[in-house]
Amino acid sequence: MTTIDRLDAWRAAGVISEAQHATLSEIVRRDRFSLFVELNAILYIGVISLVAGIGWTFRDYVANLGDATILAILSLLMILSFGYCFLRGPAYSNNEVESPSFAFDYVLYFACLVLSATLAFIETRFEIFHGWDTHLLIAALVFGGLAYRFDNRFVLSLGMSTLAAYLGLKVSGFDTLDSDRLRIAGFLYGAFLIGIGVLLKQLRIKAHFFDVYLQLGANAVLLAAISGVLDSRFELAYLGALLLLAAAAIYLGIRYRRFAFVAYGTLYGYAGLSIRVLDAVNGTAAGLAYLVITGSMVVIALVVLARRFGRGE
Amino acid sequence: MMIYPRDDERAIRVQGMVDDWAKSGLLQQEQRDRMQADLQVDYRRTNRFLRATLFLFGFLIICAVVGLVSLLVGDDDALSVIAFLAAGGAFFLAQTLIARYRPYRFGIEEAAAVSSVVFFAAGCTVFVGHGFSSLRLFIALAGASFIVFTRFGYLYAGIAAVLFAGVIPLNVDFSRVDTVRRLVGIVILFLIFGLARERRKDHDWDFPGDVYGVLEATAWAAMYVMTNLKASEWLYSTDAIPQLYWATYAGIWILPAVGLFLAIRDRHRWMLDVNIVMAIVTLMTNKPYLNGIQKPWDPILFGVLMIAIALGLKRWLVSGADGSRSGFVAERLLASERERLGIASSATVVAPGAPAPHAHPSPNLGGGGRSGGAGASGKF
Repeated sequence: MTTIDRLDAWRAAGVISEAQHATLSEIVRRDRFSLFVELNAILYIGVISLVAGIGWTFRDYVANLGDATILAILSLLMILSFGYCFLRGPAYSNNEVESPSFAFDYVLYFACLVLSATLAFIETRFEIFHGWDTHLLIAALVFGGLAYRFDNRFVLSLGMSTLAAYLGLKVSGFDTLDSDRLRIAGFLYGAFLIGIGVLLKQLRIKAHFFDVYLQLGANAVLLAAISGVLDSRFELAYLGALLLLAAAAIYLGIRYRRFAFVAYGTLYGYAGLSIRVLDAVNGTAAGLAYLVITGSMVVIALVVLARRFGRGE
Repeated sequence: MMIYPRDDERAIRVQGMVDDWAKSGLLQQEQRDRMQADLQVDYRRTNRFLRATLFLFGFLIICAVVGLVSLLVGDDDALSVIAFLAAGGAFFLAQTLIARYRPYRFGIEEAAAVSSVVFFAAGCTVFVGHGFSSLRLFIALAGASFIVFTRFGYLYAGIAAVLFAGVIPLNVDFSRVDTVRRLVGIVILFLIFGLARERRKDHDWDFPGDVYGVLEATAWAAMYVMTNLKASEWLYSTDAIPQLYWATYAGIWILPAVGLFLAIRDRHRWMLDVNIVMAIVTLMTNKPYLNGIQKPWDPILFGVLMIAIALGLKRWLVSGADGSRSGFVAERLLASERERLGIASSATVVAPGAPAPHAHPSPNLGGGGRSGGAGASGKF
């Protein structure tokens, strides 16, 4: 039975109207075909490429163009793009706000990237901020403010990743830097994100951003904890913290039916625990037996969970 | 023959469509519930997060069990037998799990099926014949992935089979000229493309036509990768044969052009997306192909071109009668389109990329009333 056959049957049974049947049939047959995603993707690639090109050109031709010219061009681009956003943007609301046009979000994103490039240029040439920290903090705060002003989840993500960079928390840093201080910063960063996400949700300020805070915050704290288990003088303390956090993620994930966090808790917790156990176990056979037994226990628990909740998410 | 009946597979896909239509405001909640009741199938299913976790743990357990057996046997000569027995056992396990407990994309049965591919390939690669053979590896991977695809219907197994089949010639020592290997690879992929295309057309867009549509696009994209010498230097070393070099240069322009024509004519989403990417890669590799020197302003020109194409195309589509051109529209029709963009935007937290655009209001298509707007009107 094809999809069109089913639609015909539902129309005959009076489940859907004639108009609905016509609309849905058009979509199923692809007589009406949306290019929404493709147009967005092309526009996105264009903006990224444009900003990258501007940065590359100014870097290579700084001697020819001169600082004043470059700053003037960057300022003009910012004024035009931010001006467009503030003039054409919708009024602020604590609730979700629709974008006024197809290109609006990309103009805002372009403006944010140009702002970041301008700050970087100023720091590189004049060292006004005496280090990249201040530059990153300013950028993060501005991005955060703009994300709320214009209700743009991506600019919010940009602000969060810039804040993480400010704290020296690039994800790859965990592989190369052996620093408990960095991990503490990771915990604080994650806790800050989760805390502010919960607070803003309770205040009903852009509550739809909550997931962004939660996803990034949870991964930051779990990643910080597991990196401590892997490589730290306080591995047992980190292991304890990891298991507590993993248990909390699983419990809250089940309670609020957000199964991504059940998966995070299970994977991070099991990986952290297994690293320490396998390190202590003598012999390959014992290690493999450990994986078989404990893995089976996890699978049984997950199957019970999956059967109870079905596909709900 | 697929283990899941075709009608069940179709019903499961229509379930997803009905949810999407309801989220998009094209159906009311009561209508959705009534339609879903007609689409019930007797399988155990779970959400994607638990599915992924179950898959990982399932795969870990199966590999650990096989490793444990190998250790207990302790005979290197028996390893090949163990690998092939493990492959057969894992395949049997996947079948048994599905027959007895009726899981559908549950993770655990997928882990068993994928394990069978891995063990079979390991057995063929290392233990059959004399020493390691990458040729046997890719033949085994392609063959076993194809069997898993045809039996269980896992799309990723089908994609893997296409890709592995394409690289088989790169591991055959039948010519001193590397380009010949590439050409044979392209021919194989073209045959797969043709077969998948025929199968897709047999079923239109209903299952398994949708699956073959993805395989068709995969084979086409793989052909392009093999053709574009500048984009696939990592894949294999290239020869300096001028005629073939310039033939591939022509190829990287012809393939996206033909692909876009076919995609638009057939309204084939996967082909359309794949060929847009191919066209962009062609523009990016054009200068290296011509041995030109990249200038700092090249990305600016490229970016302006992309922006102009996006805005121009949008304006052209909207200016058509009823906001469309031959049925192509710029607006979002379904909530799932917003979710697709949402997935792309999620990755940008780690590697900043594009702005997540606001959701634009779904056009009124003359369908039913809005169903409370669960996710239909928000942003992604």
